[in-house]
Amino acid sequence: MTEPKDPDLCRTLGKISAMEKELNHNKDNINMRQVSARISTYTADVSGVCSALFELGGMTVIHDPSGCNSTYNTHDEPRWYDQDSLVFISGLTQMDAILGNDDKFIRDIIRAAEDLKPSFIALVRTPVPLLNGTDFEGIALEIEARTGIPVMYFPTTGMETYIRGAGMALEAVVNRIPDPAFHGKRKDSGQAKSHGEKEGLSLEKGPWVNILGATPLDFSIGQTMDSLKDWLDRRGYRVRSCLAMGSGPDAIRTAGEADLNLVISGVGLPAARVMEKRFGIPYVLGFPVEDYGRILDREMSSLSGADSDQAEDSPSDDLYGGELYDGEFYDSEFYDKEKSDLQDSNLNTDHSDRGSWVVIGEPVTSISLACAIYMRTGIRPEVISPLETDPEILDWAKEALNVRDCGEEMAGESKQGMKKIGAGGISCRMIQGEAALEEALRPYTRIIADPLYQPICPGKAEFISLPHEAFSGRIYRKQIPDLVHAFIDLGLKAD
Amino acid sequence: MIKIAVYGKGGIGKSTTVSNVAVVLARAGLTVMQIGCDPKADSTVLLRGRKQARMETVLDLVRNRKDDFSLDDMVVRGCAGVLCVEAGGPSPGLGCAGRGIIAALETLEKKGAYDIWKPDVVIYDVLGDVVCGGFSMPMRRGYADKVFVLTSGENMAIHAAANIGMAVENFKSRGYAGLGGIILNRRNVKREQEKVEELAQDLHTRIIADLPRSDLVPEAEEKMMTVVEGWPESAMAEAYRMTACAILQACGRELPESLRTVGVMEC
Repeated sequence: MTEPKDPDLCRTLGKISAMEKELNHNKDNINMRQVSARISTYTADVSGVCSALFELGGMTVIHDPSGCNSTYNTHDEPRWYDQDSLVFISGLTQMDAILGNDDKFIRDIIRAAEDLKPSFIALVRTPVPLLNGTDFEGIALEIEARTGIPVMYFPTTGMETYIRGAGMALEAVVNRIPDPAFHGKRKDSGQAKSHGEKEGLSLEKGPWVNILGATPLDFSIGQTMDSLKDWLDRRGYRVRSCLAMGSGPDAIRTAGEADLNLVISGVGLPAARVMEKRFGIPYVLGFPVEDYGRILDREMSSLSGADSDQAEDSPSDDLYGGELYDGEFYDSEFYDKEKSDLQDSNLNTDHSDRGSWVVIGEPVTSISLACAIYMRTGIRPEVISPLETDPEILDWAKEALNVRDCGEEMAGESKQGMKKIGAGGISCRMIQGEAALEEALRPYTRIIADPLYQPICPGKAEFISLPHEAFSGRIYRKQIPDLVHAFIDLGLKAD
Repeated sequence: MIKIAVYGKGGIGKSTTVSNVAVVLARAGLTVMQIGCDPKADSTVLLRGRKQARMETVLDLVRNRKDDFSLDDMVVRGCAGVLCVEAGGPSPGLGCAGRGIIAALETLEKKGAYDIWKPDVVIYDVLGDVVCGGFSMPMRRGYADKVFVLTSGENMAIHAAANIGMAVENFKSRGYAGLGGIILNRRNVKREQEKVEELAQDLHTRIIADLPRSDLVPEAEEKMMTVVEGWPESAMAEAYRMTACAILQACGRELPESLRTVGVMEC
């Protein structure tokens, strides 16, 4: 490389070089747990709250000097310049923190709320008020009493990921939506329903579905959400609301009338649990990545009472017609059909030399992608989630490839009690920290992950880029694939 | 469950008073938890006696074991089975004591102290004045239902009590604990009754209990025990019993059977 002539630039480059050397030295000598020296970090919980609430008509106030807000609007919020939303910072100063100027914080919020008339106010904690022990619960009560506007408080720390922040935001939202039972739109709410025995379903028009866990942090602003809605539409599902992209406050208010919740990321799980408890709405985990949509469709129709055969491209029974491969199930019919295509592709279909694959990322979408790869190739990738992963998701992963047995021998049992058969699931591990991840990645020969993971991937491994907005922000936004049709975008089909 | 916080100037006798009240209530069949909210961790010494003089505070446990400890590690059973907890604090001269109180109380809650032990009465014995947000934690929503202020007729004690009363008034709109009343702990200074009554009037409350000055208090302290335990027949023990009754009544609770015969004062 040619040496630059600018002396300032030379000095800067010299400093960077020295820092790199020091980092490498530290890496060799210290177990740098929880330190990310060569890879990025995930969007934090503060931005997660803001992202989940962005389209819901409320006013979100981050109580901090400014850093959290600039990170959010610069790196974590692709809708910032194209859509209106009321996201503010409090402009907390050192003296505000020392003197406990809660009054100023409260006064500013009330003044803005009187002017802007938001449908709700969200208070978001950041590291400074966390360390200061600011009494957000009391402040929320005071603002609510003085404005008459519902106030929600989110005890974020700025040190956890968006999964927790966005998860608690959606959970708070569904905790406050009206119970349709009070409007006579749904009976027996509050108790989980026996599947297929629900009241008031309009199955002739297809069940209503809420999509839970949609934020640009996992699905960006490209084609994915449109493709998901199209996928649901083709299978006869009607989208009641999408929390929280593309559905206005009116749609969100009627979410309690849905027949089924589809949890497409870990962000949606806390809200799904609340809605199951409050309204008896069952939920299904998973994202319809390629062929995995067929298993997901089967699961959804089983719980919603819908007829999965009305889907345009839904196979009837071929999921059950698969053959055992190495003692496991995979979709041999589909596999055989696609075999010639695959032989020309960059997928390694030589089963004796398939190596080991891993997908790194948000657990629900990554597990769904791993299932899709298995269904297409018979190769069973593993999943590493560097994010907070609920034990329920880890349990679901173990069975994600199974389908409910609809055989006659099961006719006497309720659908809910049907046993599941199939290929088992996907191994999913939660591993956090750069050093632990680097160690865990060593054995893999093919790694599917955000490009910013590449520095810690073993050199011998083939790297397949799967950009994730919550990890690399806007850098690779244009390359973020449509997850419903991920294989083509990921270059996993014919070159 | 009744949750109360007792505030007052440093050295005014909060820990001594609440320890005696705790024993009275425990002897009456209630499950009582006393939580010392002071980095010095000396709220429950009279309850623990010489045998259990040393105990690990909540923040000691957090400091030494991170999250690897149980609820039982935080609690010592003291006299009459009172559940003793000490929040503890940072190393003297370092850190932030107020934030430490917040962290300790959050840890207690996280470990299920209230759900698992199911105490009938929780007493937060809080250091001195409401000097910062951390020391207002016990009066925040979800913690104490009532705040009681302990004072003598000494000017400094009255100033501190007025400050605490003001904090309670300021935080009304946040759903904080209300003022339950003033406990007069006599130092036999001039115009003591008059001054404290004036304070009660200013704070729109009343004196709910009157503790006379007694030599038994320092004597009990010397022996690391409570007066009601060491001298149960004394007038001072009776005064503590009446204080316990007054606190229950200020919280709108019925007196347990064994306390219904206590005293003839307006208890």
